[in-house]
Amino acid sequence: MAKNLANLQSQMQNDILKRESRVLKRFSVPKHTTAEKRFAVYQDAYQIRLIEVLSEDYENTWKYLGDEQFYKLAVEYIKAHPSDQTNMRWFGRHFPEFLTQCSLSSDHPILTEIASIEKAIEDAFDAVDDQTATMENLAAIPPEAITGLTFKLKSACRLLRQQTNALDIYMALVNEQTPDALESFDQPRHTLVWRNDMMCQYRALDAEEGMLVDLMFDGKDFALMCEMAATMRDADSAATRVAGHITNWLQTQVISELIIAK
Amino acid sequence: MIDKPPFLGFGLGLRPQHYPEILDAETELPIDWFEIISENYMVEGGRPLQMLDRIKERYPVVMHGVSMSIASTAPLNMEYLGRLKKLADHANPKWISDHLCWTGVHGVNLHDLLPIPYTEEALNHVAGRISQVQDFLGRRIAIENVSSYIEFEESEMDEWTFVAEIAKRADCWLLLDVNNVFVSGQNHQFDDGNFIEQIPVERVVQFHLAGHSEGEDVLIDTHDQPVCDEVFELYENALKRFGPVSTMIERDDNIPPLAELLAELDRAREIASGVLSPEQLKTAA
Ligand SMILES: [Fe+2]
Repeated sequence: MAKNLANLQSQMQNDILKRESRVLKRFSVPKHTTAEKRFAVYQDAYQIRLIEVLSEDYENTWKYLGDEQFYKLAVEYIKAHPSDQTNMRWFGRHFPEFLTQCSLSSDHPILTEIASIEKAIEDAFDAVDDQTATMENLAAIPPEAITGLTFKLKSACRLLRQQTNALDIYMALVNEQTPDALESFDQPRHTLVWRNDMMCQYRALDAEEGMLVDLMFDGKDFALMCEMAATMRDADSAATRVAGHITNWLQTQVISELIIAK
Repeated sequence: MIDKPPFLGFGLGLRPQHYPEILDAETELPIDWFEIISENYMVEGGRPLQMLDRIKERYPVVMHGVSMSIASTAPLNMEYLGRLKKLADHANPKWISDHLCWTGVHGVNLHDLLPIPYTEEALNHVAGRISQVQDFLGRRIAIENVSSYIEFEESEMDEWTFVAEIAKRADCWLLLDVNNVFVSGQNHQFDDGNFIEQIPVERVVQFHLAGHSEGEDVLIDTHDQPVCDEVFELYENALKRFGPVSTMIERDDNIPPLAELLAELDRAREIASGVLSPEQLKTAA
């Protein structure tokens, strides 16, 4: 085991993470400069690089918070969650959850919700390329199997349940517009994030569609979806409404598989 | 002695900003090959892999990683190497490279290319790990010299001696980053021409040309600027020593339109045609 090297690396890493200087005596640098100055290049780079990644991954959370607050939270996050990933792509994965606990957040539940939209879109971007169910697949289902039909959503799909108008605010930020004032709701609002032809998409769902997507995620069948839809709005047209949603989901690549009950 | 992979000509680092320009180009672009950043394609699916599939249909590809941490004293990350191998099976690269550096210990990744002291202990340690990786991947890998801002009191040899010895002991290829030689030469006041003279010709399979920026009393390897004149000069010397070696422009930040990088690549071509014969400049393809 390379004991000396191991000891050096531990010291150097500690001093980069904590901006300490015990390791300096082990460096040699030309006379016209100092070990402090040269080591600072590494110490600075560490924080700058990670803040940059967070500000790219959570660009709209950053816009919403402003430079100063975002920077403060990013520095706190870096301390709380040093990267343990080989790809910086995953460094910020705890950021939405971190925002629920951070000091600024108690009066800003909105932060987590904007960041969650951004994370869901990031996750959809490079999720597994699973198969896509089509209208042809649906047409091939025997009529007697329809009521027991269940649906597997594509891996890229995320259903967000949010207590605020985070989606409206997010969309305004994306379009460089002044966002509306923050609003909170008693009933959660559903946002679907998914990928259609390699493009990440998102849209708000009304209460009925949100419930139906929820049921699909839970593996519930067509019959139950119709039953639940009947309790929300006009009962007679419930099956037609559910069928309409299914058509739309199939056409926009939300569903991966149609599963016939055994 | 050892069978070097083919000379691919003049390439570019593939960057997502250029996907449309590359894939929708109506006339053939003067790019002979692409280097991909391995980690960007070690994902489950989606656009990155779709783009890679389309690029690799039309161009030779090499893989370049930043997270192998070959000089770390932490255990080799087998999960990472497994995913790297899976990507290699998919991308079918001409070769795979990473840096002569460490990126962290104790489960932390500092996402930087950190230098090591040039000691006998480090030589043994790093050469052993390269051999392990090569056994696991079932192929030789190429190791790149990095830019550094500090050196270590405990170093027992020069960087070029260390690099040459690593290649020999691990029986690996070398990726010579000409800008890194220049930057480190300036930062540590060594003769960059001599560095190049000390690197074994038969090991070098690839050159990187990149830009750097100036800090206070230090040059920093930022890859956000055009390649400077001094680096092109050093490149000319390198060609004289190494002959035809696959060359590329490595730009990672402040990324300009493709045309600007093609102009830099043209400059490299022009320099090469002044040094090498048309016969030498023929690519395998
Ligand atoms: Fe490089």
